[in-house]
Amino acid sequence: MLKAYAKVWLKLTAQQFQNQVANARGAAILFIFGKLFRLATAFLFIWVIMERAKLIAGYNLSQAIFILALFNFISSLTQLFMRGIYIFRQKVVDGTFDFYLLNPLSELFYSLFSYTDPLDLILFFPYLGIVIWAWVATGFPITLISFLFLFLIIIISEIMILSWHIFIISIGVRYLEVDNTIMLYRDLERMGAFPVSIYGKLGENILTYAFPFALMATIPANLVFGLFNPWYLFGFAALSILQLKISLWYWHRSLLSYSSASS
Amino acid sequence: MNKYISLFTITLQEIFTYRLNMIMWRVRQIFVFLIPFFIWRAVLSGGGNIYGYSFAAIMTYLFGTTILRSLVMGSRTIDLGWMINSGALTIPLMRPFNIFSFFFIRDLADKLFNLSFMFIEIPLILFIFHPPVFLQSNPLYLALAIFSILLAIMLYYYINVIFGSLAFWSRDVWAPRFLLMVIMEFATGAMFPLDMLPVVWQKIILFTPFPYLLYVPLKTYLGTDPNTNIHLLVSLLWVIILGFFANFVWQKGIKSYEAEGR
Repeated sequence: MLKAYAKVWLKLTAQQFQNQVANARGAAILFIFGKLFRLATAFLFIWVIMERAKLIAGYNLSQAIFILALFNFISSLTQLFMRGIYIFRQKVVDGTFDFYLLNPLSELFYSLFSYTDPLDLILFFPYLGIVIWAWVATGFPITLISFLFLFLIIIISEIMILSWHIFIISIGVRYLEVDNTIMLYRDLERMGAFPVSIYGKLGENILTYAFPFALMATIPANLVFGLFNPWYLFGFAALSILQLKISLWYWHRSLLSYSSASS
Repeated sequence: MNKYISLFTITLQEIFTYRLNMIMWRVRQIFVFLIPFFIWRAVLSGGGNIYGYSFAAIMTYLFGTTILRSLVMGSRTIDLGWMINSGALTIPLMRPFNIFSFFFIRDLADKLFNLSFMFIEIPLILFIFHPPVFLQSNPLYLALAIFSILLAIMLYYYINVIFGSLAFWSRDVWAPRFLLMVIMEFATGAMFPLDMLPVVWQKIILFTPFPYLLYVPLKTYLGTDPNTNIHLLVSLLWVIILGFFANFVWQKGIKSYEAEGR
C-alpha cells in the first residue's frame, strides 16, 4: 500500500517539476533568492541582538542560530510535503475534492501531499547543510545517538504538524476557510524560530504541548546541548498520536457535513 | 467627486463581505507584533539599552511599525498584477475614472479599514502586554511625522503600481512580489531599527526607497533622527522619481494589454 502512495507522490512531484521548468524558470530563481534572503535576514536579526546582549534566555549566539537553522529546516520539510493545504480551499470550491473522495487512495493524501513544490526540494540540502554548519559552530559533538534522537524528534513533530494540517483542512471542508487559518498557523509557527522560554511559562507550555513548535527547534536543540532528557520523548510520541487521532476523528466528522455543492 | 466617494464606499463593502477572512487577517496583524515583543522583552526588560534603545524606545518603535504597517502598507493595488493577468482590469479601464485615482481611492479605503480596526487592536495590545510606549508631544515632530507618513503612502502606492504592471509582460507576478516582500520586511526597518546595523549598511539602505516607508517616519515621530530634513527631502525625491517611473511603465504596459481572459 505504501508503495502505491510513494509511486503516486513521485509521479505528482515529477509533474510539478515539469510544470515549473516549462513555465516559471525565472520565477524559480527569484523564489530561491527570496527564501535564502529571508533566512539570511533572520540570522542577521539574531546577530544584531546577540552582538550586544550576548545571551537570550540563556542561549548564546551560536546556540540561537542553531535553533533558528533547525526551525527553518523542519519548517521547510513540512512545506515540502504538505503544500497542498494552500490550494485545498480552491479544490473544495471548484469541486475537485469530489475526485479525491472517489480515488482509491486516501483523500487526505491527495488533499495534503499532492502538490510538492520543487523549489522546496532544491532548498532541502542547502538547509540541511546550514543545520550541520550551525551544529558544528555550537561546539557540541555530532554523535550517532544525538543524530538518531533528532531524527526521532523530527518524526514526532511532523506527526503533530500533520495533525494540525488535518484539523485546518477539516475546518476548510466545513466552513470553506483555509487560507487565513493556515497563514495564522504559520505566523504562530514562527514563534518556534526562537527559544520558546522567551514567551513566558504559559506561552512555552502552549507552544510545547498544544502546538508542535517547541519540538521543531528548541527541544531538539536542547537535546544536543544536554538540556533535555530523551525519556520525555515517549510522552511527546503519545501526545502526537493522540493529536493525530483527534484530528482524524474531526476530519471524518467534517466529511459527513460535506455537501459536494460545487459539483 | 461623487463617483470617487461611491468607489470608496464600494471598496469598503467589498472588504466587509468576507467577514471571517477580514477578522483572521486582523488577528494575524496582532501576531506580527508578538514575536519581536517577546524577543526584546527577553533581552531588555531587565533594564539597560542596546544600540541606544531602551525597552520603552524599542517598544515604541515596534508598536509604531505595527500601526504604520497597517496604514502605509495596507493596499488594494497589490491586486493589479492579478487584474492584468485575468483581464479583470478591463472593467475599471472602461469606467469613467482616472485609473491611477481608481487604485489610489481603493488603497485609501483599505487604509481606513485598517485604521478603524487599530482602534480596537491598540488598546487590546496595551491591555494585555503593557508595552511601555513613548508619546510624542512636540508639535513640530508630529507634523513632520505626518508629512513623512503621507510620503510613505504615496511611495508604497507607486511601488505597487510598478510591480503590478510587470504583469503586462509576464504571467509570473507572484515571484517578484514575494522577493519584494522579503526585501521590504528587512529594508523598511520592520524587523528592527536600521540604525542597529553597521553605518555602511545603513547608508546603502538609505539610498533605496524602502526605509522611507516605515523607518524614517518612525524615527521622525520619535524625534531621534539627526537628519530628518535630509531624509524627508530624499523621501520626496523618491516619490517624484517613482511617480514618473510608474507612469512610464503603465503607459508602456497598457499598450500591450490584451484583456486576456475576458
